[in-house]
Amino acid sequence: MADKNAIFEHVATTLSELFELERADITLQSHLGEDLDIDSIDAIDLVVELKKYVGKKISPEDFKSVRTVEDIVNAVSDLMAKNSR
Amino acid sequence: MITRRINYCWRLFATALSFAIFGIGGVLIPLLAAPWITLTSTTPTHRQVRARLFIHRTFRAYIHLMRALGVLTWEIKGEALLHRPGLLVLANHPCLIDVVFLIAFIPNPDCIVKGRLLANPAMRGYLRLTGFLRNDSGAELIEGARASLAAGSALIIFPEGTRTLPGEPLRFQRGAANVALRTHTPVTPVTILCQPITLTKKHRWYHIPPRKLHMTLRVGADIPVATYDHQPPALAARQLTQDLQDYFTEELRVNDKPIYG
Repeated sequence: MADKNAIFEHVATTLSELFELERADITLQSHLGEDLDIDSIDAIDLVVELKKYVGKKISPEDFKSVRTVEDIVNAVSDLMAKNSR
Repeated sequence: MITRRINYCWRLFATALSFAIFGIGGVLIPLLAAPWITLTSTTPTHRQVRARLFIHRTFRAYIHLMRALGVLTWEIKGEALLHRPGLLVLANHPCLIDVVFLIAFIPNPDCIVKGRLLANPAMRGYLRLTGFLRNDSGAELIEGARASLAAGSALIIFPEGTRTLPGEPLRFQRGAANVALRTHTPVTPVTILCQPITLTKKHRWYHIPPRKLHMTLRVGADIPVATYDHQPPALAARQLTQDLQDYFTEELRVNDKPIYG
């Protein structure tokens, strides 16, 4: 199972590629809306990409309370933990 | 001097009257019209189309009433462009009554409205009857917009999401561009001038302008969006949003006066 550092690396790379963000601007603390200018429609595209990584369906519920990059990493980590069980 | 003072007092009174009529009418008119429209329509879609034609005529009557009362005047260039089916109409949003004017000139309007507008008793009846889209979410909104455009409505969106802050540059959100790109619909731009500026987020209804309000609406040529398709959608939405923002900013800069002076 991937550890959180690996997940963060993947999430940050995905974000920078999808939305043409500077990789260096993305930290665990980055707020998706305020810092990275990601809106609710971008979030849908992001979830589509993360599905490929997690390897299973992601329901919007799993990402409902996500505000920061760290929240995404935790959500992805939880989903992968569920997967391997 | 005295005539100016009288004119000001009359406009203040007439503005109060206009607001009162809009508020009371907003409660009573849908209440009275809903049973008739519902009973005489064959399908839910038919009911919606008739409800939208009805709100179009009501708002048209309302702006004529305000003009008769001496509250405001208006002019519009390219009105016929708004009578085509399946349009995505994007407009800047200088003041409170922009949407009243757009609906007054569009026979089959659909709008994306704030969910909390349902809490406003003067709007609730109209919203129920017309089934206007609520802007609560991302994915559902795009699908709702797609269905609305396919059904032939003219979908009105204010890309700013809220009224312009006076003196500030335009700042567009990306929802409108996303709708255009993901439904492959060209943009029909309408630039709106409200002069002298009034009814912004900072004005109360009684802060009336020093002279009679004049609304200018310019319907521009359609802006095609197919040229953005070579990029991933998230990036295309950013590019189109920027281009639209530049377009409206330039239009407002160049045309910062009424059409017929």
